[in-house]
Amino acid sequence: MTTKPPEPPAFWHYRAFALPVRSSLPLPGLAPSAPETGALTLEVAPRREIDDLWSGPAGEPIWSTAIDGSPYAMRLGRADDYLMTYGDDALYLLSADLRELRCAPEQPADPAWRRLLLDTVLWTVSLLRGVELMHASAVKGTTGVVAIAAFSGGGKTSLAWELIRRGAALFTDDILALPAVGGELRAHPGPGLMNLPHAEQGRHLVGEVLGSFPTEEWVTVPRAALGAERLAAVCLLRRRRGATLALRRLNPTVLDLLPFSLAFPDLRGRLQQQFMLYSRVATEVPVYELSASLDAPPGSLADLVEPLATGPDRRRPAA
Amino acid sequence: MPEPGRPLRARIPAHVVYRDFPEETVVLNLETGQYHGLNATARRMLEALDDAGDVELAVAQLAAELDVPRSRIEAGLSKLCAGLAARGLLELHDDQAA
Repeated sequence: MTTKPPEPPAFWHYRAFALPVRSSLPLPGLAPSAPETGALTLEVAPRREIDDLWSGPAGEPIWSTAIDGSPYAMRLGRADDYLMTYGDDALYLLSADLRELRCAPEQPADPAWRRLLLDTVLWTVSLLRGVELMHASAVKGTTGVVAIAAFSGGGKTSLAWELIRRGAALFTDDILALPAVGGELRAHPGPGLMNLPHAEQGRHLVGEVLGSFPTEEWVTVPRAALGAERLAAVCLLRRRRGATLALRRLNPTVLDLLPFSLAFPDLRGRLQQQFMLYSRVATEVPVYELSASLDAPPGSLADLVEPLATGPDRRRPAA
Repeated sequence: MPEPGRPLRARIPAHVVYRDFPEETVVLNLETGQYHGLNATARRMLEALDDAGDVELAVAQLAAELDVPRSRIEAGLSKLCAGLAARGLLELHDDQAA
């Protein structure tokens, strides 16, 4: 007698960047979640279907950039839908009610379109739905979540990875979700995924290599945080030529944090919410400036930040 | 600014929000998207204007609580009102204006 293998679920349910997702395909690195009303329904669709559904551009792109050498553009449609194009590799169409996301990859087996989906398109939907986002990587320690805010290329991922090697859990790589709700200020995790340089140490902490790119690998990090957590500290990482390595507590205002907030030009109506949320962070969460020279190794930065994640009394065993 | 001695109403418009921080108050004009910083003195003056709703009453309120000549308070408040109004952070209205 043979046993029939269980049918795969019709939809997988996840949560990332405070966004509930109902996906017709399994997604790596995302925390499984119970079904939620209002979830974003995600499915792969033929390019022709997206061409038929897209209402046409309402104007110039909201956001244009290059990701891994391919142009990426986000456009608002005449019917308030959004189209994201990733070179010739993929299209992503978000419905006007922000409830349905259709993905049309040119090469479904290519990891690049999935990486863009999970590290850019998902947080874009979260932002459009009203969640505030900070340009920060973050780890979870015994004290809560420690965010490391910096601009692109500032060393957020390297420092976060060094803290993970020392025992912290990945909370998010690059984008931290901060829903604007009352009560305790809580951060929401991103996918348990990172982009690590090929030669990065600590490979035993990596789960699956999902894709190999010219300068980095896209990997799963099994020991990642799954749920919302208290935001314990924010470090503003500032690397400057010749800067002395130092961590100092700031007496911040909202203006210290707003440069690290994400927004699109058509979200001007969100200014007040953004102002209030980051004012809360400035007044309720310890904010530090971590200054370092351009060539300071991540380990020296982690020596200063680690006590924020683990508490001052924790003694790291000698290697 | 109207001539001295005329009642002048003052009001923080709905498109202005502000938050206090230990060393500074940050004011946001939602219409322009511009942020502005106020020191503690300017913050107290803004609060007095908001409470009193009238420049002369605000001067009297500040004169009663501060050990500063009234003329200095008037000059400082007048300058602040002009600066805030120019940035869309304060609405001034002369009740007796035609």
